[in-house]
Amino acid sequence: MTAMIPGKTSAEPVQARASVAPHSGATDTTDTVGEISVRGLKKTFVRAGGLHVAAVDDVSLDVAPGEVVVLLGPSGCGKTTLLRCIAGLETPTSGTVQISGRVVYSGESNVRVPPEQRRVSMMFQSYALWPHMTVSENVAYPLKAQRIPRAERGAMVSRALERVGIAELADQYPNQLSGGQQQRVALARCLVVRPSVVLFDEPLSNVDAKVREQLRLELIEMQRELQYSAIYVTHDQEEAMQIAHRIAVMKAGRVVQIGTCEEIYTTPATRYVANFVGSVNELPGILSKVGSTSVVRAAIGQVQVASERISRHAKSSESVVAYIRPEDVRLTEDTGNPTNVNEWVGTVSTVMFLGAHTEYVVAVGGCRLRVWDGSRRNWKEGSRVRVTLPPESVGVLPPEDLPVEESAA
Amino acid sequence: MTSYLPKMRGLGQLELLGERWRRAAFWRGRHISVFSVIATLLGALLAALVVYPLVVMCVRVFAPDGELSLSAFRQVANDPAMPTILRDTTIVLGTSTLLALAIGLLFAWCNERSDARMGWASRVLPLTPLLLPPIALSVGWLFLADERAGYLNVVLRRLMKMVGIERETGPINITSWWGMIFVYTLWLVPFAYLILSAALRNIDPALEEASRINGAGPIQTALKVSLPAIRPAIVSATLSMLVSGIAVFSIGRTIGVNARVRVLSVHIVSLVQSYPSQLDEAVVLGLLVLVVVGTLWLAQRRVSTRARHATIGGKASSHSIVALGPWRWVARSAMIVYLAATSVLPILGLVLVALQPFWTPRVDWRGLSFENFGRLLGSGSFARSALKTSLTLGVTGATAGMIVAAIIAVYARQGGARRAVVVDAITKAPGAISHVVVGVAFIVALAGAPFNLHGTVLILFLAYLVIYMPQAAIAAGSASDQVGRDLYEASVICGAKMGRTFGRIALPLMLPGLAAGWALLFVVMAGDLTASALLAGTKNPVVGFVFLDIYENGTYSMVAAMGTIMGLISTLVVAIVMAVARPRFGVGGVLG
Repeated sequence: MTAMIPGKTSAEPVQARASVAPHSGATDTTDTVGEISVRGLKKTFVRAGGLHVAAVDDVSLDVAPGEVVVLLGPSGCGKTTLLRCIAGLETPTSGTVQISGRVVYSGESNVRVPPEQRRVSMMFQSYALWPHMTVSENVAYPLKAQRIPRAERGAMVSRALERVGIAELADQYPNQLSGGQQQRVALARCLVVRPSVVLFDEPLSNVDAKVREQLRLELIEMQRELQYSAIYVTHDQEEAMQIAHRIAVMKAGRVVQIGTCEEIYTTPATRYVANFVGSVNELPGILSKVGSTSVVRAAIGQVQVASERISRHAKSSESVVAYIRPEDVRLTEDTGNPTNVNEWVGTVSTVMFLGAHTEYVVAVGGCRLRVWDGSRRNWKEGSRVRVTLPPESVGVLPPEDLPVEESAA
Repeated sequence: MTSYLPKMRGLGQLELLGERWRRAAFWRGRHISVFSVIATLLGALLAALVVYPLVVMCVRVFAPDGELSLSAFRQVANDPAMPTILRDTTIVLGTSTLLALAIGLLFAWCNERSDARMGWASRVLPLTPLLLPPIALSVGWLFLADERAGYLNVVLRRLMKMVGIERETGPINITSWWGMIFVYTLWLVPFAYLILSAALRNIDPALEEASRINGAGPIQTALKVSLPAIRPAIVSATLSMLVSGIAVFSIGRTIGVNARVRVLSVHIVSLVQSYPSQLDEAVVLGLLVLVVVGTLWLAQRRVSTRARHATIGGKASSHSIVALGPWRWVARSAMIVYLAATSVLPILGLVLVALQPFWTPRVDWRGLSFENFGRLLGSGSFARSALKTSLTLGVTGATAGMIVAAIIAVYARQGGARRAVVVDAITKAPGAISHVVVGVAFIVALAGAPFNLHGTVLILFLAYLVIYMPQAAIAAGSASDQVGRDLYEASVICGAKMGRTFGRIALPLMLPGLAAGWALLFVVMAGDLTASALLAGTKNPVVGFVFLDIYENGTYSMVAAMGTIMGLISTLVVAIVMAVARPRFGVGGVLG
């Protein structure tokens, strides 16, 4: 799926386990490593009272050159800790981290390259601009630290400032700038050394919505132009979708699914992923076969599903969860008793006009379905409608989130 | 690999050892930075300076001839003066600590939680012990409130005469139990205030607001909600006052001697200075102080660690400010009277005596002159060279102390929790050791062979460094805490080595806090009395030593002149540094 750099394997044979979803179609990453390569990384904290808590629990991850991988998850899922382990700001408990073909951390062979020697750039959530230096001094700092001759420095700094569009602010101090401008300075400081790896730690969570959208677009353009590899941490699924080539969804220190945005959205590996990325209607029931077709016997009735949309872990004649995204549910005029499969008659109970689409909550039998309809037919609350769940849009997942070991290929 | 070892010979074996050393788990894959090596060395050096003299001192007492001996303990136990000294120390310290706690609590509450708040007072209050060293404070009060010649008494007697009461002495007598407790209390209040006001500032105002909304009045809220919420800080303040109070020497040496109240710190110094010197008895008493203070200190640490969890963040909002009504001015007057009593009044007393040929209650206003200052600081005088040495020691000692503390503070923050605990122990441990004990230990361990530092400036420098390292560490630590962690991390990520991160990021950002710490260190070092009384001599005179010398052998006017100079220098340095080192970029520096 993505280009891999020629196999530079680490000294120790690493036990490669792709933490990918069973049907996400990700390539096997046993033999090749990317620009950033993480294997079996673990970071445990000891809480007061001696309790060990795994903030990052056995994570493996590859980022190809020029690729942006987003770590997505709620706060406390370990995504920032993982990023800090890669940067070298935290020392993991075990595992390996390779950056640009160089082992920078290995628990087994005790390699610990300090962060200043890892040659990565990082953008912090708080901007982390030094208040006692001007904008250009801030941006020149990494060049000085890497002993770039003074003659070249000036040109590099002004080029970096121009690139992010704040050349005129060179002599200002950070506390004289707006949040968006500060963020641009931080970005210029990141990019001035022409890094091959950039780490982003929720860089946009401190600026307001409009500026955030603008900066997000600029970030994407910048990345496409400079072609650095990036790991980007966020809890905002929309931001993740926009920025990522691939998304790694995290939960409790583990990567539960990694794949392209489309894969994550259309074929989530677990109910957790399905619910975290986008909205879903869930229909718990029993999976069974009727002739050659698969159906889920749910409270709403028999829901026919396409066999390729059934998770490998959903077992026949056991409880499963059928799900459908609100935009996949179709609403039509109620014309008497439905005869086709996956068709029901329901009552519109709530109407919410949201601009791009209208959200309806439709009561069908004992179930309430969320439906996003862009057709502007404007059903009123209380009107009866025909609800269709196209079988190819209905997925089937096991009821419980399986531990990663079991869901790995 | 071990099985090959016996077969190896000569060079091969050495190489193997070198190889093993390199491959030892600790070093493997670790990149040692110059900065961390320096920080570690400084920490080790500091630890050695604390531990070595104490160990030598203990060996000297317990095993003078290589055999365990308890004769020094017996000597102390049989000393007929001991029960009186212990009783006097307990009474003075206990009473003044309780009084200072009450006053500190009241002032802290007024400044943080009521409309009696005065911004400048809350800033100056914790600084008063720096503006006027305790020796100047107690001598100043001696001049003010001596039974016969005290100026305050003169004024009061004149007022009483107007209402028909005539007396020759009094009404106040500073050279008494109450005078002693009074000056101790004056000196201790800021220690309580500093801790209590910070605690009151940090409790969540919602706690108090909830109490008010549920129908409790302001006084009831203060007693039932605010006070219990800062209980850990109250314990911490009490212990901190006891630790400081047991060490203070100058009040006992000046007022205490005249009042015939004998405190332990004075007794230990006099044992060392007696002829023949009773060093071992002094050491035993030093250990006694060490054990008492160490126990208190451990207790304080336990309490304050818990206190961190107990206090909840949140800015005091204007809603929780209690309107005192007419009491507002009573509260404000009380604070102003206190500030005057610790600064302006004693300085007035000092200046008045210093400008006269001799101390007399009848001031000849036309006869005032600077003659005493001229004689004191005349070329070639003892005091002049002492002043020079003290100022040099103050500048070099404060600079060295703050640099070491800053390096160690930044180093501690870079590592994990364990490193922070070790660093904390090394830098703050001397706080548990009374200054007198450090002085005695330095005499025993470093004055004689093989170091032969007796009578040198170096032994004073090292002793000051050890004694005042806790203050330096606290100032540097709070300065470092005010710099966000990601500002360091951003520098490291940029590829900067630790040394550059320290020099270009940490140091400039910590500067306001470090400057405040420097001022504090300068004042306490230049005006040190306790360690100087033991370690300084005619070959290395410092201000504190000369002050005591004049106090015992010179005239009161000379003492006053010396005290005025000390107070003036302290006040000037503190004022200048506080004015210059205002934080520029929103990171505040608080003198701690």
